[in-house]
Amino acid sequence: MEIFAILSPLSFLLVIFGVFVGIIFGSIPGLTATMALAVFLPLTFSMDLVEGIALLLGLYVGGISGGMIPAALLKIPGTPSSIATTFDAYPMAQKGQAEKALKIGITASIIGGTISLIVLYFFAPLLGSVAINFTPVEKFLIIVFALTIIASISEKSLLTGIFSGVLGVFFSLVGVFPTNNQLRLVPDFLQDELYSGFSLLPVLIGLFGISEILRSSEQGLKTVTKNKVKMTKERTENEAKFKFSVFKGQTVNTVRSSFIGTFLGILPGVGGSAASLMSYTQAQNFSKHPERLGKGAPEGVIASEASNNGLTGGALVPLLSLGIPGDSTTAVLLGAFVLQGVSVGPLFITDYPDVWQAMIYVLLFANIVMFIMMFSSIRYFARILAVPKYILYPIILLMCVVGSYAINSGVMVDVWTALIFGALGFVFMKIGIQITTFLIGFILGRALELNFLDSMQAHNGDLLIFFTRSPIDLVIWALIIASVIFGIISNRKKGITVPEDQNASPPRKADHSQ
Amino acid sequence: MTLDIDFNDYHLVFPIAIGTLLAVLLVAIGIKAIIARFREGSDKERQGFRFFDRGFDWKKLFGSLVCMVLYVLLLTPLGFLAASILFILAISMIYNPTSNKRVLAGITANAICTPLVIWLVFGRLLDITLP
Repeated sequence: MEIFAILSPLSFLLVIFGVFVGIIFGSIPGLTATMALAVFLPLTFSMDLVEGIALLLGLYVGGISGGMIPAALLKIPGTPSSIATTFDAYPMAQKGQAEKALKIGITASIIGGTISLIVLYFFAPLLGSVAINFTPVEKFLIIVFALTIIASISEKSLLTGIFSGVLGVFFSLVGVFPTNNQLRLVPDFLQDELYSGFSLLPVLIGLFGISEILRSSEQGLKTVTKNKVKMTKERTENEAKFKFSVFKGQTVNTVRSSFIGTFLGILPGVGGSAASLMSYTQAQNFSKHPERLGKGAPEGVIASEASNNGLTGGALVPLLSLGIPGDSTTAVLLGAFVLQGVSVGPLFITDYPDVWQAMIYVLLFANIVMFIMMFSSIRYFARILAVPKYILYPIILLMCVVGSYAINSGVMVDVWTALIFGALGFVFMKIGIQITTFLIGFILGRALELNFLDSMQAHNGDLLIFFTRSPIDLVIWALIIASVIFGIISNRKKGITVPEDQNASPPRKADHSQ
Repeated sequence: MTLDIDFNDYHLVFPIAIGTLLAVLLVAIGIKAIIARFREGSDKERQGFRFFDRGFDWKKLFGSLVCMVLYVLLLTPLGFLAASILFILAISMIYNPTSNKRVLAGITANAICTPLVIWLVFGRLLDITLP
C-alpha cells in the first residue's frame, strides 16, 4: 500500500506518541496544543521532515481533542478551543453522564477531523495553483489581508488588534536586511547576537510556553477544582450509556459544525475558541429544542467538538498553499518546516508531493489513533487532571530552555530570546496585545517587507501598482476592506452586548470572539 | 504616486514606515480611550487599570522568573545536569512550599529523573546539543 511506502514505521509510532502526549497537554488546563508543539518542536530537529511532521500533527490532533476532558469534568476548557464544550458536557457530567458526553465529543471530533481533512486535500492544491501566479504585489496584499482579518476578529478592539499585528511586524524587522546587508533596529552592543534578528522558535517557545506558565504562577497555580465531577461508575440506566444512535438526527449539526471549524481554520489567525463558539451558536439557532442547549444537550457537545477538530485541517490550508499559518498552532508547525529548510508556499505541494501525501495520511491516522485511544481509555486520561502542577510546570520550563537552546545547535542568545519573549508575552496578556496576532505579524513581517520592496523595484516605485496590476488585486483589496468593516461592526455589537451578557455562560450571537 | 528609494536605504523603508504606523495607532488608541472616559463621565466609579491580578501570587510569579534567569546564567558554569536538577528543586519549592516528606520525595525524584531523561533522550539518543 502506498501509505506504507510514504510513512516509515517510526512515523506511525511518532503519531501515536504525539496523540498521546497531545491529549495530556490538551487535558491539563493551562497547557495548550500550541504549547505541546512548541515544547516538542526541538525533538524533530534530528528527524527527517515527514517524521517530524508526524509527531507534531499527532500532538495537534491530540491536543485539540484532549481539551474536552476538563471541559466536561471541571467546567474549564483544557484548551481554548473546547470552550463551548463546557456548556453542555459539564451539565451532562453533573447528571452522571460524563463518559457519555466525552464519547459523544470524541466521535464528533473524528468526524470533524475527517471532514476538514477532505477539504484540505482538495482545497489546498487549488488555492496553491491560484497562488503560483502571484507576483510580489499580490503576495504583499495577501499578507496585508491576513493581518487585517486576524485583527478584525480580535477579542478586544480592532485598533488593538491591528496594533498587535503591526508590532509583530516591527519585531520581525530587527536584524540584518539581506538585500543590502545593513543592520537596523539593533543596539550597538548586541550586533553579534541579533545579527539575523530573533529566531522564530525561541519566540514561539517564549510566547506560548513560558508566558503561559508565568501567568499561571501569578494566579498561584490553582486549578479550580470546586466544580469537579467525578467519573462515577457507569450508571445502569439506559440514558447514561453512550450509543452511536445519539448522532441520529444530528447529521446536519455535525457536518455544519465541522465545516464552520474548517472554514474558520482557513482564515488566518482565527483561533479554535472562535470556531467552537460560532458553531455552538449556530447549533442553537437551528436546534429544534434550543432551550435544551446549555443544560446538557448532546448536540452542543457535538457542535463544539466537531468544529474544533475541523480546525486542524482548515488551518493547514493557508499554511500549505500560501505560507500563511491559519492559527498559532500551525505557526509552530511552520517552525518545523523552517527548521528543516523547507519553504512552504504555493509551490510546496508540487515541490514536495511526498511530504504533502504523508501529511494527509498522518492526519487521517492521527484522527483514528485519537479516537481509539480516547474512546477506549477516557477514564484513565481523566486521571491526568490529578497530576500536580508543581511537578508538571518545572518539567515544561526545562523543556522550553532545552528546546530553545537546541534549535540552533547551542546558542545562548536563543534561550534569552525565549525568556524575554516569555516575559513579553506575559506583559502582552496584561495590556491587551493579542499574542496570536502579534505572532502572525512577526512571522509574516519579513515577507511583507520583501514583497513590498520587490514590487517597488519591479515597477519603479509606483505605489498605484497595488491597485492596477491585475483584477485579482482589486479582489484582495475588497477582502481587506470587508474584513476591516466586519471588524468594526462586530466590535460595535460586542460593545453593546457585553455589558448585559457578562454572566451568561452560553454566548449570544455576537459574542464569538476568543 | 511614486516612491523613490535609494538602494542603500532599502533597509530603512520598513522600519520607518512600520514605526510611524505604530505611533499613529498608539495615538488613535489613546484618543479612543480618552473619548471613552469622557463619555462614561464621573457618574460611574471607574476601575483603574491593574497590571497584576488583585491579590496575585507575587512569590510564585517573581520566584519563577528569578529561577529561570538564574538557571540560564548557571547553565554554562555548572553544566546541564547539575543546573537543571537545582532548577527543578528550586522552582518546585517555590510552586509548592511544603515540608511534607512524601511531596518532597516526589519533587526530588522529579528533579533528578527529568533532567536525566532529557539528557539521555536529547543528548545521547537524538544527538541534540545540550548546554
